[in-house]
Amino acid sequence: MIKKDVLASLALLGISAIFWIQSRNFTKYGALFPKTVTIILGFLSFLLLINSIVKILKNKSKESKLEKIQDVKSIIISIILIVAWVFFINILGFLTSSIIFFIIMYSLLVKKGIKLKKVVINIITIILSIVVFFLFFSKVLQVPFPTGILI
Amino acid sequence: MNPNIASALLNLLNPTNLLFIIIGVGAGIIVGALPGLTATMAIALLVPFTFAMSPIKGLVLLGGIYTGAIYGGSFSAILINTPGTPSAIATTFDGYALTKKGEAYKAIVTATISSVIGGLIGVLFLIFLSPPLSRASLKFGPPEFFWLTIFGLTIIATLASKSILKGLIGGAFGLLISTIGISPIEGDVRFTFNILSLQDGVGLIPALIGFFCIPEILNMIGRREKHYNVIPYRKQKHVVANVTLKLIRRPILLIRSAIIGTFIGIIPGAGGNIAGMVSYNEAVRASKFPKKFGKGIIEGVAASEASNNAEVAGSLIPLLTLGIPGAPPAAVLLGALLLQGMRPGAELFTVHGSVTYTFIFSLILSNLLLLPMGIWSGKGISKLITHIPVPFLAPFILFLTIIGSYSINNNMFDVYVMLFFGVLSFIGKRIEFDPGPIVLGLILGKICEQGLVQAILMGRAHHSILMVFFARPISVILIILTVVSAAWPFIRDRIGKKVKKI
Repeated sequence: MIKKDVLASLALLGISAIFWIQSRNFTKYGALFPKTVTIILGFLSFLLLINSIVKILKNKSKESKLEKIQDVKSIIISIILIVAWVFFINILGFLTSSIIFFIIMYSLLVKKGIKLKKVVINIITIILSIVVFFLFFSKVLQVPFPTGILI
Repeated sequence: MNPNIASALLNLLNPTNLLFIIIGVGAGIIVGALPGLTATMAIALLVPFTFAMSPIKGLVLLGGIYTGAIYGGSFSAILINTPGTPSAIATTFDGYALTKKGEAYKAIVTATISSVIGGLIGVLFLIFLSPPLSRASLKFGPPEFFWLTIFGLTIIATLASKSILKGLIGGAFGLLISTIGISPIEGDVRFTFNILSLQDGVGLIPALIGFFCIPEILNMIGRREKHYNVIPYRKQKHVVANVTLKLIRRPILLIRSAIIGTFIGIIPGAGGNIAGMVSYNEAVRASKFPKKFGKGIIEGVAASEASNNAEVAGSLIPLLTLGIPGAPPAAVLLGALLLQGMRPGAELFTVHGSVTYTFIFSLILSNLLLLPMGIWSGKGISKLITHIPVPFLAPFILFLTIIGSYSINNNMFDVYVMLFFGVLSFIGKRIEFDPGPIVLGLILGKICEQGLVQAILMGRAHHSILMVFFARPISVILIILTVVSAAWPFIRDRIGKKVKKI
């Protein structure tokens, strides 16, 4: 936890530095607010850094009260899948890429040991419901959708 | 009668508006009852779709969802000891204890009745406090707005976060994000990193969807194997009448909880979870039998639920009058207001008066609807909570986050923004950076910057910058409030230590 705090404060100090360097070219009043905020952010991040280093030196490792994630692997795979999904929307179109994403996501999340017949039925349900939702949003609610080569 | 109020009452009789309220409350109850889906998330997902609706329909729908979701959180709190929304944390204390005694139905009925009464008291405050406050907001000039934003950020940093330092960092980070784009005063192009789409700044709604929805879905994916032990839920005779009688004999309990809820709602950043906890503590303190709390008495459920539903209307008071959201779901509602071109402040109660009052009065209806909808749907919801189909639900919510963030400007860049802040917020949450202060910083940044720079320009004109910042009466009040709220955690610790010594 505390080591993560060190990393976070270093990252925040980096962000403050980048924003500070960029804001040097702004006009007087355009730079006033961002410069003030970067100084404050930099100062607070520095405090966090000192704070967490002191805690490490004193060996005061505090257990995180947050709920432990049981399934880190699924989360990382999901993030990669979502990024891939968004990337493919522009190429394949929203409907096609969503159907592919839903099927992969479903196979990732579904419990092991489930019967093949049920999996097939569920996948067909997923495809049908996406199509229905897509039609509902695009035709009834008139929500625009990103398109690619396909729909 | 104010003509706006008359036309608002007529608007409420419109069948489509009524239908939207009913849909909103129903959907809200379901979303709130499902652990992992919060009120903030539901509103964030739906805001983009209300863009295409008329302002009245969009707002009454979102108001219904907000009311329904905060109430719905009590179902999972009572039935499976897991708050469906953060607001229902204090409901678990006595709610689940009642369930273990086989009195789940009694707990649900208590939650329903107290939510309705608490919610209605909250709306009364909203109706009577908002118009005078909105008129007072006309006296706010740039320095006042500057101090107001500083006050809002300090208080959220101290109240909403486990670590004050991390809360403040979050707020400053949000302010920094808000400076991306063209500057309001001199028109500089700032921090766009050569990305053309960033010239308009970071889209508020995509960022809100990212901050509030993505971490919840990822958490849901991470803990999907969780199984809940469910104690069967049965309806019993005479419970509704008995509970009603018992609660009516304790009017102070409900009124006190509702007032606490409303005022905690007004404080920016302090949401329903704090409202529920504080009013539960007060109920314990005021009770003649404090030891019975936590072992399953209806007073505990009533205190928490009356308070968190009153908080809904309370959180809208600073939102509608000053543009400062009182709680995270209200922050998302601000996005909905701005999408409809309605700026918070006096204008909402004059130019847009008909819409605003319809929205406010619709909350009365939403609260009343909880009574039949909550009691009838109990059984269905108890089944739903225990069989959450994560393999379907998680991708479906992701589907909505993408459509929602895309559809506002028909721009894929907004989807990237949503995803970026979503993953960032997930990582941030793991190291105890709450999204609340960041989002408030992002929302308040523009107001804060304009206030600061314009006040300095004003000071130049008056040849005294200090006078402009520190010598105006409303500013002085805001400065005192800021200092008190910043110092409060230290004072609280001191008092705590002294009490322990005694």
